[in-house]
Amino acid sequence: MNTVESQKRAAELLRGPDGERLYLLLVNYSSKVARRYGWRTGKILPQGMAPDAIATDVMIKVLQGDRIWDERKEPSLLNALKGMVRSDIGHLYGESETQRVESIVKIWPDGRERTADDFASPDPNPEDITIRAERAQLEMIALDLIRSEVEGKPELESVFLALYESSDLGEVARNCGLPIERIYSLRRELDRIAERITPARVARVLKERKIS
Amino acid sequence: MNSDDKRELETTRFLENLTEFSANDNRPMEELTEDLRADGMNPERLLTGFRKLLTRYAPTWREQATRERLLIREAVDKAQAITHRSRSETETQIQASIESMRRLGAQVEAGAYYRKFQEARDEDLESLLVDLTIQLDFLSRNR
Repeated sequence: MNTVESQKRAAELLRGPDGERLYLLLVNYSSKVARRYGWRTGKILPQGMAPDAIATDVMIKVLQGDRIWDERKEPSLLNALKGMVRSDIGHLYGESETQRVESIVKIWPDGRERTADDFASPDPNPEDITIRAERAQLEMIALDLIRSEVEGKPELESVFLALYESSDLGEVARNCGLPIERIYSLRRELDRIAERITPARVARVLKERKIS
Repeated sequence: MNSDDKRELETTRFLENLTEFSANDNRPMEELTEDLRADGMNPERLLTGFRKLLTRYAPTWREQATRERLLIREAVDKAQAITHRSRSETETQIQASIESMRRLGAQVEAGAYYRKFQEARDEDLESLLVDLTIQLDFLSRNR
């Protein structure tokens, strides 16, 4: 499929009867992915970006042909757009992180010439290890906070446990032994709980735990 | 893999699953708009923006035609707004328009225009300039 065909097909679907729902689903997804990255880094979206702006930007790029949706590889436009949103949010968080800068001076102070062997190996340095450890701590705190909110609510607790295995609503329903309709409303309840666990709150708890 | 690594992996998997689970695609429109409101967004405003986006980046033939018509109208208005100029200024602008059109690859029989300059009335030259302005605008946009 070439760029023009991809643009036309995307436009056709977005203008179709399900186009508006598709757009709102994408915005909603963007917001959930931003929340997910927020838990990992303890920060809200960098560069003042909003989840809806990221979703809109991705859609414009596909309609303009700057990004290609290959229907043969991914038949669902929504899934393709979701992948692009995830990638863009990932880049946004990636770019905001501290970058290690290597000097490109070719001669060492002792006059010896610098070679490729002198550059850092791909092994993580102490800074990388610290960042990774901090991220893991932030994620665990986010998870702990969610766990504490569902404690004492048996149905929510069972959904919480089922989410270690799968994200599929049907599978979660089967694993919990609950009707799918009930899972729909529990999904919403759990989402509201997760929404209250902001990146700032997670970062604050980590700080408090470090002090104590 | 030690127990810390295992816990780290499980946590990541849980949070990933929760993200996908929360963003369930099978929600009906009503539930979806309610979820967006709960996230602090305004679905009506979002949809207004989405419709504008479609008009701009994925126009129907009717919207495309309306936009073209508006652009041509603007070009005509612009050309008419500058009609109070001397005959020599009009001639200079006609020549400049012809040159621009040629640079854009149009086959313009400039000689025919030049020969007629002497015998043309002021209104004819103005009319010619308006015509050339529209053609040049069209060429520029379709390049």
